[in-house]
Amino acid sequence: MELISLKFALFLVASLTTYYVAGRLVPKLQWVVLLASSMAFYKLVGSWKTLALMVAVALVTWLAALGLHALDQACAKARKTTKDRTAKKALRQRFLVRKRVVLIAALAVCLGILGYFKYWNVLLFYVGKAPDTFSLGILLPLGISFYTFQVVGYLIDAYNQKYAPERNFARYLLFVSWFPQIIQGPINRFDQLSHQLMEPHGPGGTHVEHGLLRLGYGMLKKIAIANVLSNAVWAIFHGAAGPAIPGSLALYGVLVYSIQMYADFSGGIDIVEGISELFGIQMAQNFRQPYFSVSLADFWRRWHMSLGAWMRDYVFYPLAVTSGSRRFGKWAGKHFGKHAGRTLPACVANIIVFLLVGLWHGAEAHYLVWGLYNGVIVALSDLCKPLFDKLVEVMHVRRESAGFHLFGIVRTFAVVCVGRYFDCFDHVSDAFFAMRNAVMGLDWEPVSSALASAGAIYASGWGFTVPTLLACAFVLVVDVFYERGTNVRDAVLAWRLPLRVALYAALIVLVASAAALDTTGGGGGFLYANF
Amino acid sequence: MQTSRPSASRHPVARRRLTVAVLLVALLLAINAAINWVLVPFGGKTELVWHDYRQLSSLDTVVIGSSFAQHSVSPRTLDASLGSDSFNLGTPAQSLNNTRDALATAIEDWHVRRAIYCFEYDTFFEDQWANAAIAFTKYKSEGEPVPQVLRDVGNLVFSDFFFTRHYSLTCAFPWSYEHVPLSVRGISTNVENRLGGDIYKAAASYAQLTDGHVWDYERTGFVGLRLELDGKCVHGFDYSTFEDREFISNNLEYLRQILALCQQNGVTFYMVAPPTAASTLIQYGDAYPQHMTQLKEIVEQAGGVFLDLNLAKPDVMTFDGTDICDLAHLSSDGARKTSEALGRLLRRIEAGEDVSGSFFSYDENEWREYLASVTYVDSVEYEVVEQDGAMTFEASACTGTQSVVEYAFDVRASDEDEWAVAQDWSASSSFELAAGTGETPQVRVRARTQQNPTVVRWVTT
Repeated sequence: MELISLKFALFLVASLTTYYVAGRLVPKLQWVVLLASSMAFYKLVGSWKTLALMVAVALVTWLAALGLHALDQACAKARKTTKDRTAKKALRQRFLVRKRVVLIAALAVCLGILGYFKYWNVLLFYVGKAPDTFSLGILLPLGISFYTFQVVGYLIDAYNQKYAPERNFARYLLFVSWFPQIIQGPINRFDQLSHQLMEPHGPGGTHVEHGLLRLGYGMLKKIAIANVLSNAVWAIFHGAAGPAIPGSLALYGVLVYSIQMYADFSGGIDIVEGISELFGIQMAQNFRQPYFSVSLADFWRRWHMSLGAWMRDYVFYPLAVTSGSRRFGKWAGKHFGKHAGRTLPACVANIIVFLLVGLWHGAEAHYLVWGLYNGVIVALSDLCKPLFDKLVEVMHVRRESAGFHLFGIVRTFAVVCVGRYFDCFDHVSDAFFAMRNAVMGLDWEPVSSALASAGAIYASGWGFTVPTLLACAFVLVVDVFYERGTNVRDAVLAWRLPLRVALYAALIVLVASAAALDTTGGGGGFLYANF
Repeated sequence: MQTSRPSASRHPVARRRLTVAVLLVALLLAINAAINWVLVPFGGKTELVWHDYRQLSSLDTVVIGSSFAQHSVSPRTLDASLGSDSFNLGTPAQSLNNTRDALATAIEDWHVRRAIYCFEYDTFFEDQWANAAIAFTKYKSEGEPVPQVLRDVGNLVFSDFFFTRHYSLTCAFPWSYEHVPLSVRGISTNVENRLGGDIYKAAASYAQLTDGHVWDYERTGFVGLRLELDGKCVHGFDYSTFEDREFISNNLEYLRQILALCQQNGVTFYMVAPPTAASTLIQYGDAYPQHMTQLKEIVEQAGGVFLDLNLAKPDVMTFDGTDICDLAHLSSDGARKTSEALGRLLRRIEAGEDVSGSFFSYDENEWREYLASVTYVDSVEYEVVEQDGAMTFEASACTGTQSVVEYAFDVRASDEDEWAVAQDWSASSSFELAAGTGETPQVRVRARTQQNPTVVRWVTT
């Protein structure tokens, strides 16, 4: 079921109506409607089995968090019974070991389930026990990566006593299964989302208008840009393999993919965030104009932000503060200087983090190389910072100048695009062939004819259509305003009524004009087929 | 004492919101209607069919299906041969659920006693086409009573294909799914046509604008195509995957619903595969008889009659490929020939005759016999190998397994009209164009068989 469909629209209207009616009648139980909707949605898009799996994961982590909390309380109680510091320390250590056992057991269950569904077949393929990466027919349950990361975050927070765990399983289950987040994130945090889910909401606030606006903006990105460009991307990369991959076409493909990917992912996030806002619930922000980043590290603070923040809090920091890491830092500082001593442990942690980000996307080698590439670049830029600072000083470059800022944006985009080669090609060797051909033997065959031979529609427009170009221009303008600090939604909602209505009408016409341009509806592109 | 009246500040906000919503909806409806009027072609093939259907005064036989129905059966010719009173409700890319709906309409309106469903093998592997389904519903519902319109729209948006996809929402904008070419000429022609109000004139001008040719329209739903087969059509077809494919289960389910509808209403159901290019069948390979057997069994189990005119023997009709216009659809003349043969065949069947002997069966032996019976060249293509400036053309023709093929190669400069024979008819499929200093000439490859030399297929560079 697509989110932009009558089936989902009916589901959403029914959920919203029930939610707000329940809010009038029994505000304290309004959240039950959200839980029921989330369960119903997961069943609609999945099956009883996948629903049961999600509930089981939630149950294990809910019980584990309660167990951790009980151990904390038991520890505190036991420590009160003695005044001997050594005994207190021993008690603490004993309970810490128990807590670790509980945490590791719960993590093993959650990550084990995720690992089985996501990586087992690929792993067997790599060790020669499976003919291909899909041969076992293991279907990934919808949203399993997102809800697993969400419950793992909750568990670690509970372990660290960041907040008291939820005592009501149904409320906790709602946090895990909240339906707008289940398809493609964002990865929400319990302390930021849960209380919102429990609070009563009415339809009277501005959140409905804000939500609708965001939902519409997401549809524009998905329908007018992502769906249309997906054909060109598919035509370029589908079956492209071997040393003769045309460098120019692959380069163009990577550029188009960068636009398509952003429109698809951020558009999808806008849609689900908008849907959540219709209920008065703000989810974690996931994109912040990533193509205006001035460094790769900056890019990862703006692209899939909730995953980046999750990795930072639950992988990077714990890795960076281990005793081994501290010892390594001291050793590096002694041998390579103060800067290296401070940054090298973080560099290693960054490389591990990005390898995990690669693994999160898939167990195939090209994803791991993609993660490694990002990790190494981020690590190197940290490590070489004094060198870059010196270079900037020697060249008398004003860091605060617009030119330098623009240079940073262009450089970062290029670095991101190089990484995308490993994302676009299924085999690492093909990515390298394409990069080599782009540099060494750029064959400037006209893109339109190359696209046409690859079977792309809209080849004469290089994969773009007029509505797509208009939508791209619109998204660029909106991003520029956001980057300059203007809240575009607030600004639009403050416009005079006729102007707003005109804008909405124009955008709806733009989205509608692109609706038939994708290829999934059979006959896509055959606009003049004379029906 | 406080009165319990709503907060004064809430009503204006609510009113304002309502105003915005109403204004937006009204504006959208108006804009949508205006764009539809300007951009949706007046006189498209689906509109034409439903327009003429509503003019009928009697009907006992309905032809249903996609373009393979619309371009294959001429009701006038069929009626002359069969003595029926028929209409062709075939529309371009009509999906099987729409075919079911078209049949249901004809049964409800006219209590038809015969349904002839024309199909092409590939149809059962294809999912619905959103744009064709939207056009079908739009024109079918025009002029219908409101409850029926609601049923039609419901059938569309709640269909398996639409309900879970964005088409179920964006179908509210039909101009997005089919519009005239977005040029001054395209739009102005359409506006002129609408203002003129003559649907047949509009259909003819729209056909010229889009297809670049003239139809042969006889106001019975049948659209005769006047096109000459270009050998180039064979390029880009990928038949290699058919053996691994399975029919889309929804399509089989819709076929069963069609059969059930006929059984419930006492309608005789004929499922007819009109003749298509032999090369298409040859390249489908052994998957063709296997899959067609499956369809035949479904139809016959439900009391229907299954006829594959591709496998018809000469007592039914002779077919040498000259009556095909694009390797899939029949030309206007081919359709009339087919309609006449079909009429005669149905008369024999309805007289109680067993006609199975007039067809090759799908048994392995008879399938091989059929492949051997094709004696004409159906299509020709070529590959070019360049070496040191010289170009070697390697031609290959598609024909029956026993045919002996001959090739000829012609050349001409880009500014010339006449072809000059560079290599006359021979068994050699190769031709070398020596390296030259000037512009590379255009090459034409011709092919024929010794058994049937009058049918010549060609393809040009």
